[in-house]
Amino acid sequence: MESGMKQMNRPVTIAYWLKSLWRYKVSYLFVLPSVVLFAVFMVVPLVRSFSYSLYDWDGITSPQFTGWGNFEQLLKDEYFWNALKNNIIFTVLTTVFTCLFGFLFAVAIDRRLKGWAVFKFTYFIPVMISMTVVGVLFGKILEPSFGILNSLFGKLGLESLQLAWLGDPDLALYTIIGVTVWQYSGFTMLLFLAAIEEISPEIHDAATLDGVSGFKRMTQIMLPIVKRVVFMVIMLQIIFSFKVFDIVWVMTLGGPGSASEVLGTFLYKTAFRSEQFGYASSISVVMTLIIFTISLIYLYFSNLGRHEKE
Amino acid sequence: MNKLNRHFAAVLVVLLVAMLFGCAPSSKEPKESDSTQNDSSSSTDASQGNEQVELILSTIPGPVAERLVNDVEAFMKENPNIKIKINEFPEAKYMDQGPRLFSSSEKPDLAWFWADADYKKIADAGVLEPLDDMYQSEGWDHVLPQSTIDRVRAKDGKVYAVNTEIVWGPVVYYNKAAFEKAGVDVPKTMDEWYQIGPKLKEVGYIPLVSGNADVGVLILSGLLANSFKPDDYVKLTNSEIKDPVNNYNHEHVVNAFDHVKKMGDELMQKGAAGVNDTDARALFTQGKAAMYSNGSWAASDALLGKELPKDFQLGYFYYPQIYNDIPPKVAVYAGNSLLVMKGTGKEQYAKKFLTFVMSKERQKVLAQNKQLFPSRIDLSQQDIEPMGPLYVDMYQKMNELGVMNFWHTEVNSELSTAARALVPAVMSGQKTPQQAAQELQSILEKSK
Repeated sequence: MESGMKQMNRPVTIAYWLKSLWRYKVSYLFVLPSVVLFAVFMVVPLVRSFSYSLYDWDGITSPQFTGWGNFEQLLKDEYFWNALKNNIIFTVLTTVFTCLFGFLFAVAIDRRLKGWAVFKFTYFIPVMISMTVVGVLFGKILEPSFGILNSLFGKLGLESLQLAWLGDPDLALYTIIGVTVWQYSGFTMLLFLAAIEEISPEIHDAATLDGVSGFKRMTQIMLPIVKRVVFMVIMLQIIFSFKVFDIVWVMTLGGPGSASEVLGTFLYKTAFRSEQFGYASSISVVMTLIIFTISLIYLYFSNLGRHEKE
Repeated sequence: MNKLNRHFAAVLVVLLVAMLFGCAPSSKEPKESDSTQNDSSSSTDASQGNEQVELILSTIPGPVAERLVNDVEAFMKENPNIKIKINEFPEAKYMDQGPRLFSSSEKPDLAWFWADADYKKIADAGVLEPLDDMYQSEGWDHVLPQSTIDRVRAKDGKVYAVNTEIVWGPVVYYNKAAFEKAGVDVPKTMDEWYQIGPKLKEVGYIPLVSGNADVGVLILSGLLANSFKPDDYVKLTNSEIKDPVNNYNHEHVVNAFDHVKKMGDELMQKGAAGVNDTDARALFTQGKAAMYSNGSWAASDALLGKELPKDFQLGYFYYPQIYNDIPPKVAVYAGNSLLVMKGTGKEQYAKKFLTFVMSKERQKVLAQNKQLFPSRIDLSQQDIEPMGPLYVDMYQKMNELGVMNFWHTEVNSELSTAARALVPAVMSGQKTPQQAAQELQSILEKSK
């Protein structure tokens, strides 16, 4: 014990470090590619982005140092707050509905409802299609005058439903949310299904013997068991939804006006159309901080981290 | 282990701080010895004209690329030692990222680009080869309008681009059969234009379609060109001129936005604010819309020329008069240009291609192929007749009415970017005309 305590109290010198490095050299070697890739594609761009945010730069002429000027401007920019508001709406609704539908689909497949084999494949097909392709496809379907959807409503005598799905500022964002939910419910379904299928059949048998209803089985047996996976999927969906860009860009360019503008499209326009790279970098820094904060808060309240240690 | 973690964290922080200070953005001016990835396929001793040289030319697809493909093929036939490879980029992406491409190590040898505010920045940054000697040696200073040459003059007084074709607009293309069916005529005033809308709807047509989601700013440009006398228009588009007209809260600007709203409400379909140009043109070519607003380039064989059925009776008119004392004008754009990148080592070959493209013979071929309208003003009526009666008529009418530059190509990128979003915003009711005008004014004041 004394020798152990002596070891713990040993000063951490560079020599000690290098010795430790040499002792575990093979382990470090295995980890090195991931660390290098992470550093090159994540850390370096992140740091550079933060650095750019302190400058006023159009990407061509010499940059001018402005310090926190870009961030001060951002706080006063109504377009930024509008994009942030739209982003929050997009994130909340997309996360809620993709997780909800994904879970329901997964339960339906697990419980072998009629046609489950077809559902399993069908619900996942949209996930395999590129988001850009989905955006272009739905742009045609939702065309206000002769798109498939409005034409169908016309044929069914539902003229009141022939709306300007992408041209009405009150509707455009929610239309994009609907398309995203359609596309990504299959992804969450797959994750939930993997977790649900791990539930022991004995639990289900016991529930059947006890005469538990389908709804209670889902909410009071299955959901608590796969709780950790649910929390993890929700967090992934939050992060994914907050970074949305391509589907919004393809479907509406953030329009009409700025009705469906999100931080991703706002950032792109600021950088490449208004040629304010420094200002755009400040937007990306703020986005990163927001996602980071949300993830930390979520991890804390979901107990995901604590569960790992236990 | 806690101490180890603290040491590790300390080293990490030091590294991050070092990266932060070492990662400040920088702009690099190209040196004469700078080489690009293209050099590997070219010989340094190409001055003899015997060695194989490969040039990279960047452009956008559509009529521009088709024209350049023809020019490149003809050029390579005459110059077998020079090979030109064309890289096409989607228009929106090229417009946004072209300046960065030209300043990077991936730059092409030649580029087709718009000579707008971005071009001036690129020229000022020293990434382009000056072409003053060519304007004199090739006589371009006599065959291009002075305003066109002044447009491509940078701050240092040199010219770094040459205008290869002109476009103008906005043009309203219309279906003559639809007009006949509805019993309406070409409108001469805005009020007349709004009046034909219900009549066209009655016979089953969408009166007017336009790519409001992506190119709606053309509508605003056209309305502004008809809202100001020439001198006042110049003041409006030049932020350096201090004049009461140079104020976007001017009633004529607010009125222009009013017309944007009215056009959306009375002439276009529900949700028109979200329609892009491709879908708008599809509605017109399929006979579902009676009128289609775009520019002169839409009449080329690359767009409407190949998309319309053979029996389609196509007509056109320019935006009608708004004010009794301000005759309508047509907005022209003479900024479509070819640029030569500096520092590639192949500037002389790139210039040789420029000479070829700008020759009278190739400009005549441009007209014969009905692609885009030639920029040289020394072509005869006979030379441009192959463009077809519609195009020739548009050109003559344009010259009769008089021209002004497109508003959105004259102002800074912030204003034109804002206008691109404001047109659909006003059309959809998200912003009032007054709010839109005020927003432009705020941007103008911030940029001064």
